Amino acid sequence: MLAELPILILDFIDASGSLGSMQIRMKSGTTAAAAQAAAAVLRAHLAPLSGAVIVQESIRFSFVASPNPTPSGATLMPHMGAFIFNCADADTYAMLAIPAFKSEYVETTGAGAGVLIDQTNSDVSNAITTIIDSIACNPFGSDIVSIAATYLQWR
Amino acid sequence: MSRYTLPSDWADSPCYVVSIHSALIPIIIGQLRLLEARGSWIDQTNYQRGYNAVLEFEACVMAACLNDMLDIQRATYRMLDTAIYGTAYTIESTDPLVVSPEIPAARDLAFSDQDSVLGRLDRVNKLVDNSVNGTSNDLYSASPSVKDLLQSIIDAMSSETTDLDSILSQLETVVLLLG
Repeated sequence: MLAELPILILDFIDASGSLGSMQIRMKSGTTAAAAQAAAAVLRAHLAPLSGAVIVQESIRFSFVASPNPTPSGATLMPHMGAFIFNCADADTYAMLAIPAFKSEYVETTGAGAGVLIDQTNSDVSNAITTIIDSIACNPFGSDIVSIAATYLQWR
Repeated sequence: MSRYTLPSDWADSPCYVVSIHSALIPIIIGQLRLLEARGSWIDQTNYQRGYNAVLEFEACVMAACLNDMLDIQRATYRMLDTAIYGTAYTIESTDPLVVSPEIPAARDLAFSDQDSVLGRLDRVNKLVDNSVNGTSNDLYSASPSVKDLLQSIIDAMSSETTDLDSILSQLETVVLLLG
């Protein structure tokens, strides 16, 4: 993966409710902390120049595959592998959905044939373990701790 | 687009079991992605509550609930099979749970262990039959039976040479046999 220049995105909203945005590219090698500090300074000087209000600030670090890879296999984008995780806080969950999920990882026997994802498959179990051991969390900051269910969803 | 709210006591409401063809699950459940988005909920509190409620439901659809119910049913069958018929089950592995022998589609009345419910009833039946009727079986073969002793008493009392001590002894034996 090749690193692209980090981008600061400022989203504006005007009195009519219309949305707009501006993007500022940052120097190569800028860290997340440096980008956030720079964004605060930029925002402070740019906001007074607009009659719209800044409602959201995003910093995006992008990496692109090079050369462009050729998609393989017959699975389509909506054919997603849904991985539902239990999180650290009681009764909280996280959803990770893998697009164009390969059918070879779906169970072929039993009541869940064609729907359930085979958690005994080493590729699947390794992916689950990696996600649990990572810094991933749910939208509310609760750590992912264990797998609850995995099956196909058309999303 | 309408935005939703979710009551804080939603988890206290009763559950309904819904049957759904497995082929429809990916399509129908996949539509719930709309409820996983912040924009579907009226505010952050309802979003957090709704997101977790929806994901709990999505997890329950294919995995935990039905499997737990089936496991409990199978465990109940094995418990009754062991108690009534004396069938011995062995846990081959715990994760996944594998127990042998497999639960059959149908079974007969033959029991495997004399200490089972049917086994104990069988023992009582054979004891009574041997004690009272004198029928010999695989568990009991005592002799003479209650009927034999009573007949002896009747015969003795009918004869001219009645031995009261002998009759009394036989009556005592009848009492012992009857418990």
